[in-house]
Amino acid sequence: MEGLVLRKLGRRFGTFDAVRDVNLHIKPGEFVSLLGPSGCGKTTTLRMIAGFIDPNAGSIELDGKVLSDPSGSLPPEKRGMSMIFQSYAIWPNMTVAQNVGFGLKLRKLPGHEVKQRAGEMLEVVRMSHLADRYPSELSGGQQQRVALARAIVIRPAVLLLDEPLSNLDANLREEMRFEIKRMHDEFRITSVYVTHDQAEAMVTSDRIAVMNNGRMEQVDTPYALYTRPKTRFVASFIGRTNFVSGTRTGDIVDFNGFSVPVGQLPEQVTAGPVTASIRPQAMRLSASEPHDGSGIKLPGSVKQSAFLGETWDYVFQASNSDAEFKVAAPPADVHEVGAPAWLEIDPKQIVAIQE
Amino acid sequence: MTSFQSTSVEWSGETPVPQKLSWFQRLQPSSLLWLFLAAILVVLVVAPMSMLLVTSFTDGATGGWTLGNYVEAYGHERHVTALTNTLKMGAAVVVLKLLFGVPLAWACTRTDMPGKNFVRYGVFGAFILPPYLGAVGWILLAGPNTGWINRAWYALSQSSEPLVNVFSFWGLVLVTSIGGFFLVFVFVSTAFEMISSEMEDAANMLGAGPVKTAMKVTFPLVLPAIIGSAMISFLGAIALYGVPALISIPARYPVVVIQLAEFFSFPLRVEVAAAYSIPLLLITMSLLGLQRLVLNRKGYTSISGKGGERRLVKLGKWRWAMFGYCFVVVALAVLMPLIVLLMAAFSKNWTSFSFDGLTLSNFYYVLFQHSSSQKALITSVSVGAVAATAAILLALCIGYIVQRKLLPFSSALAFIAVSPFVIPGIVLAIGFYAAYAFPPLALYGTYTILVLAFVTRFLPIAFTTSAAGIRAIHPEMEDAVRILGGGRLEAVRSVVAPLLKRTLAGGWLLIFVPAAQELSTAIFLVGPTTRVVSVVLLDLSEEGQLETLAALGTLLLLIIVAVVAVGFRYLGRDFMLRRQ
Amino acid sequence: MTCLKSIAAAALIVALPLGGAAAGEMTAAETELYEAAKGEGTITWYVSQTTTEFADGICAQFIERYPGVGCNAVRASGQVVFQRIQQELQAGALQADVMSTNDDGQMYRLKEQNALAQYAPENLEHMVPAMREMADPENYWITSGVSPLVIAYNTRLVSEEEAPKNWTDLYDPKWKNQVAIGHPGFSGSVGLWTVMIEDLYGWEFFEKLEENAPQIGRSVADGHNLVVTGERKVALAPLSLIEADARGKNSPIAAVFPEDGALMPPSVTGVMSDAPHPNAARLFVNFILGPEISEYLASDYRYPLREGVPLAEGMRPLDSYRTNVIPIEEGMARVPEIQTKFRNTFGI
Repeated sequence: MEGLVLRKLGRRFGTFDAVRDVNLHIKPGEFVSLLGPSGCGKTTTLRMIAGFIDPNAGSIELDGKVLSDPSGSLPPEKRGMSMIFQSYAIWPNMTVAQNVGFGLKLRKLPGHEVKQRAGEMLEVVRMSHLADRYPSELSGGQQQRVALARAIVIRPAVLLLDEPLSNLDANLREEMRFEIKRMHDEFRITSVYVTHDQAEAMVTSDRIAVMNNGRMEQVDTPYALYTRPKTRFVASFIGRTNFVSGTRTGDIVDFNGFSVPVGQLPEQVTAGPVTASIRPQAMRLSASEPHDGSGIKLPGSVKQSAFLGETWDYVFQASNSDAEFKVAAPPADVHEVGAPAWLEIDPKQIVAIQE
Repeated sequence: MTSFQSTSVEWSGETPVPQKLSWFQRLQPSSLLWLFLAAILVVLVVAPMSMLLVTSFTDGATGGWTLGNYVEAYGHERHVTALTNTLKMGAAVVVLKLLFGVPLAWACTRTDMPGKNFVRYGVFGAFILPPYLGAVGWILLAGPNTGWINRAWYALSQSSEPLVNVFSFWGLVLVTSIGGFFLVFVFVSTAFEMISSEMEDAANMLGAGPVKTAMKVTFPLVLPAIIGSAMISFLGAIALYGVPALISIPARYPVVVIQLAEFFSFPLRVEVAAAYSIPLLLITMSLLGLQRLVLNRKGYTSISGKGGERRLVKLGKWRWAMFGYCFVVVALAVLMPLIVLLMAAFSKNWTSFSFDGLTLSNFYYVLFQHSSSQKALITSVSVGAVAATAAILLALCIGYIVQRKLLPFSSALAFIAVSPFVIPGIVLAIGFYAAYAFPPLALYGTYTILVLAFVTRFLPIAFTTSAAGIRAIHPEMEDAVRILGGGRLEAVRSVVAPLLKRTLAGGWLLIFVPAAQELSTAIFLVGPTTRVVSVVLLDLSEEGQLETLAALGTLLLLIIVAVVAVGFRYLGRDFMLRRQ
Repeated sequence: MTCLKSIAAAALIVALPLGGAAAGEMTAAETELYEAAKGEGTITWYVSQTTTEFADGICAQFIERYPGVGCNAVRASGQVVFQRIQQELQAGALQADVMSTNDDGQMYRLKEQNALAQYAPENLEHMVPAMREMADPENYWITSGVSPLVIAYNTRLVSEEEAPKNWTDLYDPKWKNQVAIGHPGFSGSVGLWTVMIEDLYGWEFFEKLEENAPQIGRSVADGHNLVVTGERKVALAPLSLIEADARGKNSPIAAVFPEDGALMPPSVTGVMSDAPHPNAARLFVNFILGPEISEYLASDYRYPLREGVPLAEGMRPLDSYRTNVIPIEEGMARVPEIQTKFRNTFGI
């Protein structure tokens, strides 16, 4: 199979299962993020791909060749990958150019070619003017660019990124997100990106694998993850959401305070209890009863409000039940706390999830 | 749905045909190196110490098992007295070293005392001056009839009794203490530097006065350092050979090392010597255990890293009194013995020193006429340099394995590497003698056995230095090398080693200085062609050739000072005065 | 203090080949030995008999006479030398070729251990007969010197009348804190001296001496230094070192020949049976009995080994004062026990 394959991968530390039964196929040139809270096993998975940790179960294969399985692992230096580290890991005893050229030197390239290719790479990351500086003289963002150049210049089979932006401040982080995206668009290197920041993952990735408790919960495009979360964890970890529970009886699903015909829901729902996720953006708040649209309409009042600049965050209290909803509204939609209001829910965006 | 299927669907029904890895693709050359290092540690530490234990239970004549060696070793009152004497002497030395080291450390780190640099250099001088030269200096100063101090005393007082006598219990204690309080100073001043004034302020705010603050906050915070250095002081004191050889025989105060030397004279009883040293080893080990116990219970490990801002205590009118105390300590430890040694080195007869009679003939004799001095100087310096280099390299490798947890039993490696810390040098020499002197190895009297023993002796210093250095290097620095195709050895070569250069050079000097002067470990292992300066000096002292001895000692000091000066230039002045 | 001696030694080295024509010529046996020795290199000579300086002087002359053969003198006190040899024998790593000591009991033991080579040097025939007879009848060792142990006193601090006349004067309370002796556990000749004293006066001698708090050195070779510097007024010391200080350097020291007899420990030299350089070792032992060394001994106020070599000026002939000799077997049998007694009495 082409690309990077993780097959039933597992790793145990003592009695703790850090990674359990992870299956993932990353196609050549694809950019996949491993997203999850700390301790979910994403870094362990990445370090197993790199060869720094040996799996206890399953295997890692690259283009059909086994790199790791419980009987042994190819050491990292023989995998032809490269990695960008959380700490940057720029060698302070080498200049910027020496850092970037190091991997090429290890590949026994002639000196002038090392110099030329490292120079070109520094050009790409806009660091040429600092080629002879030592890392201690660089800012965090500049160090990260050097790390990026160092990792890409060898044209690795797989590029691994371990929370590369977590040590940068917010502005720089955003800039570097796009920088990474740009590099990937330019070089199309198969990439695995570990992060706990969903925005980072969504900007850069073709697909995102959400991990929790050592398992992979869902692997999908950023859009699908947001709009069609499959589990409660994914729904709550990617963005904010409202969970509603109900029961399907016949062709109707009864939720607390409202019901929806099965046919209006985007996905199939089995009979019996149902849990669904409704994003705050799938609802609209209005001061009076809306007359247009086919949405579900609930009367109630505004319980809390917070202005975030780009949006308003309201909490809507339904009057026909004890249900509360988090609702997002554009800045122009101003509602006073305590004022009566109507909530309109788009049934196409009520996504049933697995508990 | 999206264009990508959820991956789990893809797996069903697919049978992968992955190629298996061959064994050599998986082999990392470094794993062999780690095994090799473990083997070296066996050679350096485990084998000699096991041989020491085995030998102590071996019947010298028949080779069978026996307890007779212990009966012989401890069945004589005189032998037991030597042990209790040693413990008494060790305890007194600890007290004196603390009295010297702790106030100086406090004054130099926490007060506005004048002349701190003078005191620091003085303390450093005490580190450079080997204990046996300090002893000779004090013999010249406080010999009961002709010592400089007593001659002055007789002239002034018309008394017939000496004022001071170096050949006494307190002479032994003083001379042993002056060399070793350097370590107390380093440990304790490091601890003082880690206490921020904020910690003391916090106590002040809660209503504690200065004395109460000192007793309840400052003192407990440096207590681990004081206990640690007391421990080292004790170990150093009981293991020293040179000072007792020069002083305790005329003082008629038998100690363990002298008794061990007796077992090594005719009839040679290595087995009894081994048996005699085992309880000593048990004592040092249990002291270390006790130290751990005390420190763990109180959770003293809380100070780490540099503390916040430190404010100096204003001593006011006591500034000069404090300096006076420091000056006295430095004078006792370095200035006085060094001056009389130099005077002796430049005169024909040390008792009748005059500036007109200054001569270089002692130096000429030592360098060009005395049969073994020149060679001994070369031997001492090269054995010291080789041992320091080997110890540092070995410690670097072990520290690396331990810090990077490369082997499942790496903490055992660390334990073995620091364990020579509790082995008195002379006991170590007996272990080496028992393990390697005999055929088929027959290493007795070779450079090899000297270097091996020295490496072992100084491995703990090397290890703690290297391990601290490696700890400061982020493991991802090496991961970055490896993922780019470099292998572990490449990572060590191109990243770890360059980053550790300064730390390692500092550690090298910390080992070279004592190694070039080492006597206790060398005394039973040197042969006629491998005599080190310390052994030659001791032989010269037997003949009473104090002027020649002083000249040779001066040359050794000059070489060491030159090496250290180079180190200062390269590493900065304070590298040795801080614990790394 | 060392300079004068070295200059004297250097002068001797230059002067000697001119001194006796016979010294320059080699006998046939000597030439043969020399040729064989050339290929062997440097001998290691363990010596407690003399000071380092004097041993170095002998080595220098040996090298002078036999170019291409080296000599490395390793000087330490008698017990230390013996201990090192024992250590080497036990370890099977013998480094010594030749050993010289003031304690012939050590030679006797080595002979019993089969550690000595039987060798009768050519030069034996020229020896002073009395000295030759002190050696091993089976030629496992030769006599390489005699150095009577006598009493030294500081002439600046002690007048000739005040000075001790015999050994028992050493425990006179007037010498409290002023006596220096060696330690039988370190020094071979002090061991024999202790045996001699016990024979003469019983062990009470040492109990009384102990009350004078003598300074106990390791070697017998530092007593004279203590007297010269004035650290101690009187000391047990080898005659040659006293005379060398007194006459050679005009130091304030003089010897007392005790009326109850100086100790005469023969200094002996033997070749190790497994000597790494066997021919060079034999060449060296023969050389010690040659005219150069006897003249060198005389020049350093020691007794020459060869007949016809004059004593240094002012030296008393050996037969002009009373000496005691401890028979070798007796010394051997009693020294270990006496070491223990000494340690018990003096606490060290």
